Amino acid sequence: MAKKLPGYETTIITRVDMSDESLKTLKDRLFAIVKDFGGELVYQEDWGKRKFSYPMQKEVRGQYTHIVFTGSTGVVAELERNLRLNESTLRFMTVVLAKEFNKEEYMKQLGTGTPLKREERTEAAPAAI
Amino acid sequence: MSKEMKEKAPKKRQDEDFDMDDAMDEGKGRRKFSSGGKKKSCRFMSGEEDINNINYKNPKFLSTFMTEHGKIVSRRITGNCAMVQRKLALEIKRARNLGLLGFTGIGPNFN
Repeated sequence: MAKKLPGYETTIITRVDMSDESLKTLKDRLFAIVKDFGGELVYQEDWGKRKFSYPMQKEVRGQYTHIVFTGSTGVVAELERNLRLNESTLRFMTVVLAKEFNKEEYMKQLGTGTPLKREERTEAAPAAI
Repeated sequence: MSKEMKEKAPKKRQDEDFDMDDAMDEGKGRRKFSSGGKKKSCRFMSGEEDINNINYKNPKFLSTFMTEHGKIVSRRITGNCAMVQRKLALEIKRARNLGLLGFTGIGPNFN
């Protein structure tokens, strides 16, 4: 079998007033890009609406979306280009998880010790979708 | 020499279970350091804490290594090893960029 693809995780902060449909179309576009680059969407999570520690572009709260995906070279550049084009995106950050991503291993550790614990999140953002 | 060591021994034990906040309260340069005693080991390396908790997605945990003004607490105070401290600093900075932690103050979510 060919070498495994690298894995990435991206956190996207969008404006709170962004509608659910436009967020969905943005996500669908990102997923299409991941597919184009031969990767797959491993995991997706909404952290809901959270208050910032400091204002960003005059916004005090933001909507957090977290996605984990694989893809060949250039997938992150294309993804971030698209995020930059979107005006509702406040900020985003991509972290390389592994150069050879193992999906099974990732899913296993996900169940045991997912960071940003659920109860903490709901506490901070009761207004989640 | 040996007498001196004996005198130092009980003092050491107090140091071992010191609280980070207490140490900060004491102010800079107040805490005494002796080179001769047993070195405090890193709490992540000794298995006391899980190193996987050091992640930008876990801002509540990271905030325990910050002062109330949002500064990263030094290794001298926390006793972390160099590797852990590097990782900790990186993840705190990541969390700051995402607005999960503050640059000044730890943020609204944990007060």
